[in-house]
Amino acid sequence: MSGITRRDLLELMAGGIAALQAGCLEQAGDREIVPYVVDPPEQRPGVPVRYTGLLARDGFAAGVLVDSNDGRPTKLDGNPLHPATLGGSLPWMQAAILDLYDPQRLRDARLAGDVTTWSALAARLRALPRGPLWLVLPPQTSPTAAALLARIGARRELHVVYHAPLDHRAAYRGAALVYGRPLEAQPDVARADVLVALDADVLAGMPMSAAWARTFAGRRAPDRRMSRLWACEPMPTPTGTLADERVALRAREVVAVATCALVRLGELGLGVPALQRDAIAAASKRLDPGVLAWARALAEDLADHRGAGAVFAGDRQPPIVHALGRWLDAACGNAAPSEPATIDPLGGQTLDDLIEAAGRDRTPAIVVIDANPVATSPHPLALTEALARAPLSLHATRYRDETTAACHALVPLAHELETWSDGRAWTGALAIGQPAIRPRFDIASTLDVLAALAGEPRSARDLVRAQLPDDAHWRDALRTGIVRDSDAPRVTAEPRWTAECDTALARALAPASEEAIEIALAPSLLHDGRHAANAWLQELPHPITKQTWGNAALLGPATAARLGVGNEDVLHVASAVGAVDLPALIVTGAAEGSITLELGYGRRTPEQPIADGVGADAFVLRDDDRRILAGTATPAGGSARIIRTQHETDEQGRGLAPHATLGEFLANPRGLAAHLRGDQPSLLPQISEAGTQWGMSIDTSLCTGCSACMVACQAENNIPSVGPADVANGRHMNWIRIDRWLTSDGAVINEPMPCQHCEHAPCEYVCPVNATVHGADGLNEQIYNRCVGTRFCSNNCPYKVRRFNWFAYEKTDSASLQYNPDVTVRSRGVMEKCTYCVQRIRRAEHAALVEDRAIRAGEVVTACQAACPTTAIVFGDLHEQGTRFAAMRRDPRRFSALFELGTRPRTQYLAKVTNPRSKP
Amino acid sequence: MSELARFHDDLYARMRAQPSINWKLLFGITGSMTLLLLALVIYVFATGIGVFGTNIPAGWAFPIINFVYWIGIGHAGTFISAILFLLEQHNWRNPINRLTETMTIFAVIQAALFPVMHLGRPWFGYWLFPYPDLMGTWPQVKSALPWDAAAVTTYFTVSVLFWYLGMIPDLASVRDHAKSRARRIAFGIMAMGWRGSAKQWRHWRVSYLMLAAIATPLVVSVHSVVSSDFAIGITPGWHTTLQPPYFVAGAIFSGFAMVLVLAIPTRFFFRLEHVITDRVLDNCAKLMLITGWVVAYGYLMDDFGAYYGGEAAERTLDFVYHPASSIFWITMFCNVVVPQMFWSRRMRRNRKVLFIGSMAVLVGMWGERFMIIVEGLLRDHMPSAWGSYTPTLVDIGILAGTFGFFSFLYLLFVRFFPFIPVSEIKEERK
Amino acid sequence: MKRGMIAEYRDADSLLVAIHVVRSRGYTALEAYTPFSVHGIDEALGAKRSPLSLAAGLGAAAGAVGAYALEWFLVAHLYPLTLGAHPPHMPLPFLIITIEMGFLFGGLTVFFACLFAARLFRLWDPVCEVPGFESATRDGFWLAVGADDPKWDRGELEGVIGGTGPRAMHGFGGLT
Repeated sequence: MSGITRRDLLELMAGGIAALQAGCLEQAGDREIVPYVVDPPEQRPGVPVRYTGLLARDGFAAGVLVDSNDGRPTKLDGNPLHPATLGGSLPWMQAAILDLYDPQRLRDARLAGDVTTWSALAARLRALPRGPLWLVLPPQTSPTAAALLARIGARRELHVVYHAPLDHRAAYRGAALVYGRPLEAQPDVARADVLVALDADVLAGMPMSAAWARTFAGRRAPDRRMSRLWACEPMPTPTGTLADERVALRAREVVAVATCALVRLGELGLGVPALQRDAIAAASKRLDPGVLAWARALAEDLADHRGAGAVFAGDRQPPIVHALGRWLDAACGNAAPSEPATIDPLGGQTLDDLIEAAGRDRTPAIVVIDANPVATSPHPLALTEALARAPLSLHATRYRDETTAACHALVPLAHELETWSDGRAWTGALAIGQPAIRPRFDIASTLDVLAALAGEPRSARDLVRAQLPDDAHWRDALRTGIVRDSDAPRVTAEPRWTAECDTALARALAPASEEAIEIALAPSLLHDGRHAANAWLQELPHPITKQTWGNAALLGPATAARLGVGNEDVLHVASAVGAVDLPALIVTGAAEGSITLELGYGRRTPEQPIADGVGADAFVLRDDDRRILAGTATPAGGSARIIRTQHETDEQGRGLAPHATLGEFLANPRGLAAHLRGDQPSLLPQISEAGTQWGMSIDTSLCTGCSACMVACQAENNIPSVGPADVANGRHMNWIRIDRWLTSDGAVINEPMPCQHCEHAPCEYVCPVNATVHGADGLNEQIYNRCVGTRFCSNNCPYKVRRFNWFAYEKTDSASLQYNPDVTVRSRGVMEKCTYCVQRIRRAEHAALVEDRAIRAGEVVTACQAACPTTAIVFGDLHEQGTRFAAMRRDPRRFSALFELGTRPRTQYLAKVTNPRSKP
Repeated sequence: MSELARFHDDLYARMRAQPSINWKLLFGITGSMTLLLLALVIYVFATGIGVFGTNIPAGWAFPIINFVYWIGIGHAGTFISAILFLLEQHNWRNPINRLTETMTIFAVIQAALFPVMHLGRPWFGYWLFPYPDLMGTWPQVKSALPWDAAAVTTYFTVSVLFWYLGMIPDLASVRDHAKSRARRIAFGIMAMGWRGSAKQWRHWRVSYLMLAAIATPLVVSVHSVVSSDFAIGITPGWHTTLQPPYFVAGAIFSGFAMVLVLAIPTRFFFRLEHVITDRVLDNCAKLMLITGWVVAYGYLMDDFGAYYGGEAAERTLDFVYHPASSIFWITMFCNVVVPQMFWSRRMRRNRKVLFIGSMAVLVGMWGERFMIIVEGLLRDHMPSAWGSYTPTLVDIGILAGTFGFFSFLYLLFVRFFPFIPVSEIKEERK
Repeated sequence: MKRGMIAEYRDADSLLVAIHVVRSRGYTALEAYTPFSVHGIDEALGAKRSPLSLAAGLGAAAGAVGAYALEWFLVAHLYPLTLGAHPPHMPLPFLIITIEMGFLFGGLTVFFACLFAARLFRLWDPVCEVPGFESATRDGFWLAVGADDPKWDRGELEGVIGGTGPRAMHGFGGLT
């Protein structure tokens, strides 16, 4: 229970009780509304209640805390007790709250186009005639779902398709190659001195990324304990950005790196399998000498830190890379794997099986839950036909999408915050998801649909409840958001190297045609397209390219030159089965000979105007579940606009990106950024520093650029999305942005840029109407109702962090239910900007006043700080002593952005220090 | 009939004559453009200023460029009527002083549209003036914008007073010789009972002199204050003490160009070549040449200051390699190259050359405002925020609309008012 | 000047001569009407210098002092705020509005003082009834002698004025 305060606990307890009540609510109907005579104890007007909750993506659960204002959940943050988040979050988790109120959501159950009710459809499902039933749903970790599936299977012929277009199956297959069964790797990031990411976005793109990023950050202080991250990847990722040793490598060469590293471990005397000579030769031939040396150095580093390493392989990589990764870990005695959290990880049928079955005369009933297989399957037309031909095809979905068009019956699917659920994290830890709001429509959850199919009369809540032995466990699980001691047991399994491995390795190392260009498919901020209706994620700048509202063909400069394209020139990328036209975008640090296409764009869903037709669909390139393809790329002629929020990545000598290696830093700690801190001389009087003086410190060593802070800020501060046209015209509204600097010596620095709250603020003295003034606590305050909108402040802000309401951007539809009631919704024509979450400061001040005490150190946590998975952002009082913030204010790495202007910003940065092995 | 009476009658007859141009067509065109302006202003008010092309980083663009531009145009009028009055350059000042003062007022009206229109919430524009409100808040007078409000209000007011006071004797003359009763009454009211008594002339002369004495430093101060909208900022390209003289010189430069653009057709269509003589135009051209050189020196010093100051952002602000560098080249051509032909007396006396050269200067000075205001914003201190700017059709429509409105007002004036200061010319003839 | 005699002259010089002659006979209630400002006429009429330059100066001073005082009162005293570490009272920025308000109030004062001093709010005057007086704004130079003159003697005056060679001579304000 450490890390959770008494206050949090009380809130959580209250949440549990409230949630129990919420679960029992009846259907809505005509009823009188009367005010509370006596407020329920957990409902204090103006004081948000905090519940635990559960989000899940492809089965893997992420525990969250839900802030609810007067019955409306308004904000999500990672649950510090949940092993998949540890309190941090990722953009999609932060953005999930917007989906809850999405006006595009499917509202009514429908049968053959007519409005019906879920209960009527449930009755039909219960009375489904005998015959085969095909279920298409995402991979499951829910024990309740597992039990229900088993019962359905006992009643009838059941075929389950666990459909996840970006699935985790290769890792299980790889583990199965090594251990004989699909185990889950359980790296111990906290203990890891050496981390190896084999085309794996460890810090931002995996189910455990929020938690791993946080533990990883704990080992990144620039001292002798600093860990070292090795990464090889075809396209820069947040992980690659923080890597100490990174090589850009085509995705299909990663297997060679893993092979050579394993061979080197063997040379160093570690217990590794005897690989076939041909394979070893082929692997070293596939790599450039530099990369080969890099792979061998990686192995040496792992060997030097035996038992304190962690090897990650990306889901995109074939099973053999995962197998090699398991072997690297096993050879070094790193953390042992565990039983997988996913139910039946290698089982189930495929969509092709479904199509084939539908083509046979046995006509099956098809139920699709929480999946959009028509948009993501390699054979959408055949699948559409199968769905249309089936006597019953039911789609439980939150949106009308490509699949709904082909289905007879539609059920509005519950949002995770509207329903009871359970699910396991990657570690196997079980958590219970409770509803935080009564559903606004007639909806059903995955468990509801499965229960109806199983003929189960109990409610989802009772089914989930039945997973726990007694009420004490149940209450504890609801309070803390996690079921104690439910981690999957570690398995002490001996790795093997079988002939099957040799075959797979030989196949993976087989030389590829030199003409073909590699096409690497990657998840986007919209993942596989499921978040495409979420305006926050559509408008969130890509962590690397800063592109919004669309995708592009990402490629390296030499490849672009070879193909004869520049930025925004349309490229025709074709695989064996399909082709897509996308504008080219040149990315520094990308592997040459490889084109990365991000998935989830190019949706064809007129009912979701936000998603429809944004970008281009790269799913059409695949024929099966492979994500590394070979194909061709030719200029298609013409150009297409790429909407980006940052165009210039060279800091132009403005002192924005100081950095050093660990060796350089330790040799001269004070020398790093010494010229960028202190107070510039000024004629102006010293401002009073009495009382609380707020400030922020941001460690650029820790920022991955994942952008969770940006979405968190958007959720907390009622920041509108403005749409592609306005973003293209520099009118995006994010209060905090992440600048990405590429220095001439190859360093990459992510610099989150909120308002700097300058002591000598250039914005303040130019406002003609006192709409931006300096507070006694050091805040640069923006007074919206005083602002007339001259925009002089923005012109004079050297950091360009001010945002202007060019139109009436505020939401008036159901999405406005998400608004934080403590934050003014800005009207048309006023300037706005980061306030350091002043509403949170004031709340803490009120609490301190009521309790007659001073504000405690660390009591105010800004939204960006709370969301940051790596704890790069720290907020506090300049007078604090003994806290991490106080240490950061004295850190020798500290510097002020645009120091030479003498603005004396309250937001300070810590220079980036990396720990490369090659340059100590 | 006395010679003076003949001269008087001839001048008024020419001013009242139907000019040799399709008057209705001109009114139609400029009137429609005025309506376009009105429609666009309503559209902006109703929709939001997002219909402009302005963005972050270019928080100020077309509207502020137009504001600075039109204010600048006004400057020549005050320069001619006040400064040349004080310097006793009556012989070439008097023929065009009414025209140029009128130009000043109408130009300031165009300019005054923009600071209000460009506001995010234009209906609260009055917050820039001190008025007692319930919130107890006041304008923040350390910002240059209330300075602007004060300077432009003062400039407009004093220009109107000066213009009106100077016109009273001629208004009385129109009143006394009007054919129609309506005209007599209208001008009777406007002339406010001017009878030309020695007492009236006595007070009038001192007041006129005083207003000229006030307008002279005022005209210098106005564009200096306008320039401080930029000079007090820390944006690269804005933050320089060079701005005030640079702005004032540019303002007079563009103002004289506008004077010539108005005076040349006016004297042609009203057959006033004997009043607005070649010598008057020649002198205007000479002043354009002089102020043009001051402006060119400004360009030079701007670059030198950026180089010598050594600040990274200032040095990086390179107009030559800037995304909007075409504007730079147009500006250099129009403002530095074109005026050089006015070294030649033949060119100065050729009204076509003068007219085209002045048009070029009007274009160039607009380009200069664009360069100063927008290009620094697009290349600010923070390279990650560097952006681009494209005006919208609304921006362009409003700019065109102000030219229409300006011309419309000018045409109305020359149609109905004594646009040659007859009494002053009569005095000078004697 | 409600009643009196008025005479029209061909040019400014004749007017100046006539003024000299009439004044030399001891008449003091004189007024001249001219189409433009005639040089030397004030000296001829013995008029004092217009005090309006003083009005302009006073107006400007009042405007400037008032503006600075208002700025100080509002910004530095009534509602002091910290802006970019600038102190509430800053003379230099305050001075700009001060100067502008000096110009504005100087101009307004002199303009309205002129209207007042020159009686420019009075649209009608008895002299307007004099036939042919509209030439005062064209080519006529007029001299009027008021009936309120202590030396008023209609007969003598007709002789004196008649001797200066006027174009025409009339009584006005009820006199014929």
